[in-house]
Amino acid sequence: MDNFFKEILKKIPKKIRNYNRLSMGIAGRIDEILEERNISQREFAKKMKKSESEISKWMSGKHNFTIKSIANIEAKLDTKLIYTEYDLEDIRAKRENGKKYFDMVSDSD
Amino acid sequence: MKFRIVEILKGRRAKIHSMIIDDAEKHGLKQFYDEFIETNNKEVNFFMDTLEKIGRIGIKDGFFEDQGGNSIYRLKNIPTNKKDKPQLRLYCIKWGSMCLIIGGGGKKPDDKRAWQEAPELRRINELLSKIDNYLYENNLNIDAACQNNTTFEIED
Repeated sequence: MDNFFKEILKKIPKKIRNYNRLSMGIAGRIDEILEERNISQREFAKKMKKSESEISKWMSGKHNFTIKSIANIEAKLDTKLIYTEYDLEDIRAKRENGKKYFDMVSDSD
Repeated sequence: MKFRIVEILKGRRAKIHSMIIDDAEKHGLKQFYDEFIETNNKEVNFFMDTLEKIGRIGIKDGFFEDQGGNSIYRLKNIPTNKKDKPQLRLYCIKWGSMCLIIGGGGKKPDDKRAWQEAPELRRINELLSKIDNYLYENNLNIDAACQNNTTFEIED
């Protein structure tokens, strides 16, 4: 990486880095899912009951998504866009034991 | 006019480059940063971080605004609201699906509705258009041009 760029990245406030990480990460993931499933943005807009211009804002990587809209997109696309620490525990447990985290806790009771 | 392409970062999903025009000391991205970091700190930081994220996420169409000419685009800016309207424009050439070449940018005056009306933005777009045409006509290998530090010359 260019030295100048490496230095300036260190100076960017965490608030900006986190905003981009989440907004661009969600937009990028939606884009990948639509491409994988061969769904156009127009079809996605219809599925979400939103206008195409609203979807275009979502995909800009600068949109301030609400928890409600993320939950709605996850439900409509039957996927996860954001993973909480609990989701990750769940995934790790599932990978290691072939079980869901909740099942493991139940077993130990 | 002469130009060289320099590598800024090599991400998992995209490579980001910039360009040095004639005998300039700085590449276009550094010029943009140095010129506006004091006056438009938030916007500049958003742009710089956006480039780093593009390296990781990839060159998604949604992140750019088409400038209506060949492969020239501008990076979308931070969300607009009445209080904090973005002023800066940063332009680039999308070269294939994994390579972005940042040209430079400037401030869009409040009284101008389109970039074509702002002389500095118009100059950058015209410059990028010439370079884009040159890259296309000569089918240049950007990686090799960076590694060999090749200087290209375009007739004015």
